[in-house]
Amino acid sequence: MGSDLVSSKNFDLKSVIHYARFGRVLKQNKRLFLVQILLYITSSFYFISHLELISYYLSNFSLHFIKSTITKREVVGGFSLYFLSLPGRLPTFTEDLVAFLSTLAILLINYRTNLLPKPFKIWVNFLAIILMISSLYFIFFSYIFPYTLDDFSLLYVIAQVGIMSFIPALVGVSLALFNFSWWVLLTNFFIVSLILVYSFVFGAVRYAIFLYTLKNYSFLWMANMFFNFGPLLDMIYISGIYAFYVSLLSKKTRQSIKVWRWIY
Amino acid sequence: MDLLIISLKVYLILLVFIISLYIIRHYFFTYNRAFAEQKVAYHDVLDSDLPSVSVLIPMHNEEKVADHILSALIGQEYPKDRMEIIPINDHSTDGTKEILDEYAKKYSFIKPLHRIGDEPRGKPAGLNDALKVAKGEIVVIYDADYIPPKGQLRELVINFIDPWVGVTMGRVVPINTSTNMLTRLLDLERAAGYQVDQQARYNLDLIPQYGGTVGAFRKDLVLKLGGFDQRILAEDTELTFRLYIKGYKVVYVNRAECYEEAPEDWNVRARQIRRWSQGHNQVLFKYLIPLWRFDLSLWQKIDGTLLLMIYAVPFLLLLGIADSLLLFFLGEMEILASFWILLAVLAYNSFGNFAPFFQIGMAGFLDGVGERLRLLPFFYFIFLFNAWYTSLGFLDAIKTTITGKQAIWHKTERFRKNG
Amino acid sequence: MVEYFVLFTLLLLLPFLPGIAELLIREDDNPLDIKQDFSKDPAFFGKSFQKILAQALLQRSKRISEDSIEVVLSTGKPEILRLYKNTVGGKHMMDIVFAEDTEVKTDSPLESYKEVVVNGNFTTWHPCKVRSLLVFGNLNVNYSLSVVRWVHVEGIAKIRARSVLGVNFYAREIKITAPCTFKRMFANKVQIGEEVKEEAFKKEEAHYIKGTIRSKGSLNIKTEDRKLIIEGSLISDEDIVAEGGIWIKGDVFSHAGVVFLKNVVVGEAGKVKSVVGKKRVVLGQKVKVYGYVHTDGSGVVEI
Repeated sequence: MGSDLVSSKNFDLKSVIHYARFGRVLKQNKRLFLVQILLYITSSFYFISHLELISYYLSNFSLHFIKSTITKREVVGGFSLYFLSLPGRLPTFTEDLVAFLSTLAILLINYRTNLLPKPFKIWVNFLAIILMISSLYFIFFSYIFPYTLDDFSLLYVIAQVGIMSFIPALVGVSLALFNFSWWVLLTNFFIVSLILVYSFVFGAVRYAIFLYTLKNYSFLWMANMFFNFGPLLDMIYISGIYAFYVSLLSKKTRQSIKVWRWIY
Repeated sequence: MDLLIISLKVYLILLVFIISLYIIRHYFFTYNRAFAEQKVAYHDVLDSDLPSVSVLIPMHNEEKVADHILSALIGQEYPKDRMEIIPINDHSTDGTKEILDEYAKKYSFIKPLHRIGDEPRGKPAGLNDALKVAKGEIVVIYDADYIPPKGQLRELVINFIDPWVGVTMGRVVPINTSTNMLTRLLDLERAAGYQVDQQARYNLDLIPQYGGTVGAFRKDLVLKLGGFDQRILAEDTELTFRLYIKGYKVVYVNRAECYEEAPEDWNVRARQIRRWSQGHNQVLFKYLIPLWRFDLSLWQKIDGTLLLMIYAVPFLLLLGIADSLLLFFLGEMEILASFWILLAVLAYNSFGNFAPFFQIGMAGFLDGVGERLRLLPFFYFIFLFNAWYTSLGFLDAIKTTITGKQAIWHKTERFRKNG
Repeated sequence: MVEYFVLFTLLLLLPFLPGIAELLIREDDNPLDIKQDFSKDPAFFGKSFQKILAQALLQRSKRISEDSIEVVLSTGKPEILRLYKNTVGGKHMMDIVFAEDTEVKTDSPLESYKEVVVNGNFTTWHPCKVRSLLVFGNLNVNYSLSVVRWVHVEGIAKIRARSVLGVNFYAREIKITAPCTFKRMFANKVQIGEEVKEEAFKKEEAHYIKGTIRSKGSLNIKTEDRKLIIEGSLISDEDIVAEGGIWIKGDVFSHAGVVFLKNVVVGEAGKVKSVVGKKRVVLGQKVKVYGYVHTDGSGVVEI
């Protein structure tokens, strides 16, 4: 057969490839792919089985920022969790009224003018609408407001440890698609770890800030903390670190013979 | 009250389930595009007997871009005796007519169709009129802001050697990427949509979508099916489903890349996305049930359903937010704590940008881009923007479906400077 | 507490920083590069090299000795063009071999890591291993030829010895009478082994199929007593296998492989038709293609 006639391998001096983007495909190491999938999904389950420990460290780390508080423990859905306990307060009528009027003004200004680019305008409107609903709620129904600051604190911890447990599965499984070498497995692991550390630090600081705000500036802000500054914010650093890493990976490997193949 | 709370909770759980399906689907697509065998179109076939082609260009006030697309089409390496170009001047009030007439004087194969007076405006209506006069066996459509490379007509048309092919579709690439943050984000979004989504759907023999531009179809077939449905704004998506139901296929040609002009202004983008959503949801209402009655594979039916629902889910998501707010003030924060996490994370992943972050990452990686990927976290800000205008489009679709009123075509504004 | 609010804001904004930097510095804000002048041309490599070489010789070249010229090609680095008369041979690691005469042959095994250019007809009598080969006349291969990239022959190419024909092989006419491997071949007529004349397909004797045959599964066509003329194309998602007296007037396309075992003609004189097997193409004895043969996998001439 022709293929074994004359070896041309030593002839092709190319150290890079230029496969057109329409048909290039990543080389796959199925073993490394499965190892990563297994590792990160197991990690998520491992974290879930250690929620108590994570909540303990999270609460204690937050204690550095907000000192006038104590740590409590409660069992929720079979999981024992630590959280910070401190008293909060309901908003006063004046605070409600100011919040209502300010948000009304913001909504009107946004409706009438184009001071902000549209996506920011919609985001600000969303903030304002939630604050407005909160203020109206507290004006008329503050006596039946169902939560204490402890409730919020515990639920924040549930949300944050939930996110941290979810990160290895979400980011790890996404990064597992890059499995063309052993070193990329290590860098993937480093990135997942980095995101976890970031999540822990950011989660703890945010926890302290939220508690401080609710304690000193009332429960008026609670709904927004949940809907606007809750888990959605976690996607910012997750996608930010992921994107930075993949951009570096792309630049380094865009013409590498070891990474690409053609069509199949 | 208990019933209300249970209903609200059930809705949230259902919503999380639907969005999770999308995430799984997109991960599967990303995996497929990254590693699986890529189904290539027929563009490697060289054939001296090419079919006759009519290139239709819907135009309404396109003086900023008319010259560019006509020059690009004149330069096509396609036998000129086998092609005609029909720019459809749809009630233009600027200098479009004069530019087209000037070209028609110089090139006999350019045959402008001037639509004036009481004729109904809009792309589907214009295309239907042009189909009546088009002489080509194959019809290729370009929006006026597109700049096709020299070999593209052949790349799109050669696929019709396969008698099962009803439509072909190429890849859209924004040319004005560098203009501002919006165009840069749209560039990433388009890459994910074409490089990963469309190619994976073609690989898997699902339903790649005809996008109404950088695409071609068999004229006789479309005429036999009654031309474009003028009541529907997404005439392209409508055609995709109509052809699949009749047993034809869409070929996605990832090789056939063509520059387009992405919207540079948020207001223009808002109108565009609202129009797309209205049209797409009109198609959803028309085809969701018929899709399951026809002879398609189970996977095509599932993918077709998810594809049809793509512009409806943001509306369901906004309802989910309202639902969550109600639960919050009703003292049911516990369910929120567990489901809001999933809802928010999954929602951002899937609908912040119509493609999850890992799909955009993979598309950029396959394209070999670098620093532009770092803009990914900015999609946070267009999450609500997309959800809002898509939802408005959804409501528009309900309105036009109930009232039977003709949907109004809002043309996307052009930004190109001369030269 | 203010410092913690600041810390919170910093942690919130930090993930945006690389993106903000990119928005300001604009390292990667060009549109994806689409070559506007791209069109599929099977002679692209040879033509483009000819153009680059001609421009370099005219504008960026310097005679450095009697048998060598320094030229600056598209890479921007100076390269040596080694001039020969009517014989070539030897090992060339860095030089472009340029044979000036109209009749050139090998006088010893030729090995070149760069392009080899022959101004006229080229006949090989020794093993040749080249990166790319440009022949302005005819090419006669009598001893094994191994090409890494491309071959461009303005005249007729006759391959009479086992060869590796590189990624792209272009000639006015290609006649192969020995086992070979290839990826793409284009010629007005690609002929494997002995030529089958179309006159052999007497109309009254042949079976006719009008129109294209499209199959999801594999397609096997074998004729025994009478010949078969297909006035259309063959398209399949799986393998296409054909043998016997078969004349396909259209294109042949398979998402898997195309195997023409014996006695198959594709296309007609004066037209261009294609045989595309995405994963493999096998061409046997008495196969003739008017136009283009393409595979992204393995292309084999079995003879």
